[in-house]
Amino acid sequence: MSTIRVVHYLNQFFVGLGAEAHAGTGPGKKAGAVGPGIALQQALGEGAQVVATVYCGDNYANERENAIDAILELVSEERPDILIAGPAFASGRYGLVCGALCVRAQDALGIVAVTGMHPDNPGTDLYRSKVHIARTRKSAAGMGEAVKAMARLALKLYEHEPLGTPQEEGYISTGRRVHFVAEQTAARRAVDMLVKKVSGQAYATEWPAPSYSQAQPAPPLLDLAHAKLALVTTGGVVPRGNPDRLESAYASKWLTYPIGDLDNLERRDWQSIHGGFDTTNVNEDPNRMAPLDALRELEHEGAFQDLADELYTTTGNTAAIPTARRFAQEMLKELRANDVQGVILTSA
Amino acid sequence: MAKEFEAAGMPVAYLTTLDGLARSVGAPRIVRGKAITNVAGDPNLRPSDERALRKELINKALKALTTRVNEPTTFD
Repeated sequence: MSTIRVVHYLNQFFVGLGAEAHAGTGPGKKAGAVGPGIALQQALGEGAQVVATVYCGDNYANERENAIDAILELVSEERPDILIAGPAFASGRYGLVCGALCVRAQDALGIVAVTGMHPDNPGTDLYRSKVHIARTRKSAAGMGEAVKAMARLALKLYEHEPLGTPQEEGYISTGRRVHFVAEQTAARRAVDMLVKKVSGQAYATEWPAPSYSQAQPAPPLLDLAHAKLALVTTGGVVPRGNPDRLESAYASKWLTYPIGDLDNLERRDWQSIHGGFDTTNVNEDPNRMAPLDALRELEHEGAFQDLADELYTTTGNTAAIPTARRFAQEMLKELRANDVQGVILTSA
Repeated sequence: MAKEFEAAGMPVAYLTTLDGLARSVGAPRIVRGKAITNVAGDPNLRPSDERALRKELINKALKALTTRVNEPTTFD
């Protein structure tokens, strides 16, 4: 059997060029295994060889358009069977490059690609459903175990061996559901788990509840009487007829509509196209979702200075968290440009 | 979205009927709405009473915007 050809990708630091001062280094290549690649070679064993180490500075790779293409070209020249990128541990810029490069290697070169990251690395959110990411520690103190996990995953994927669960194999959950027949019924497993829990024994949940990061709350408005506010809704409120075709679920966009001259949202002019609840009541009176009438009244009474002239709207139904975050970031730019200091956000 | 706004320094009064969910995902300033199908209203009320309810909800939202919070807080 011929030797499996492996290319290893590292950033400027791990390839030995230097730390932050060298993060602008462009793409390059060294023959064979370098730095952590030496341990990776050991973990791969004799059947696979690290034929080259491709590298790039983290800033260069993130900032330059086409940087990933240039790195991929260096990888492609080696005609590899496998690409192993990183591990990036908790380093965000490095993780984003590793994830992007692995996706491109899989798609464009049709090869096996594996990387490694700590679950906090922002690269995991973006790429875990597309690439197998070995779960690592936060820092390079975990290098030994990380390269072993990446090597094991890569070889298994290359040989088309079925992978076990993320826990068994040490990778970050890809979100794929795999069917299997359990030995016990769900009722039995649930009772067993409960008994273990109440008696203080170790137990493993079959479906971990998602955990959410805490947001640092913004400071409060100190002078509401002079503050400009904006009305934002995820209730799918649009002009009647939905002229811009806002989706009723999985919204791909957010929209703004002028409300500066309006004292309320008239039913003949506005509606909700939200697909996640019965919109009858909102369509009867759209202020029930986007409470413009009450806001206008309080504005006139001087409770606050001014309401922004635009209604910011999208559909929250089945929105993915990364999409919602992007919408908020995009809206923030406009809100700031319009001197908005606080937001009333409404949803179902 | 509320968290993203807040983390960027923009206070948000989040009016939602699913206030428990909003708390568990960590939205900082929450105002509990009336119902999923009419978060800022109530078709069972007379129009003038419904208008008063809506104004009361917005007043709670304004209170939320002017109050310092350190963790998910519901303004009732």
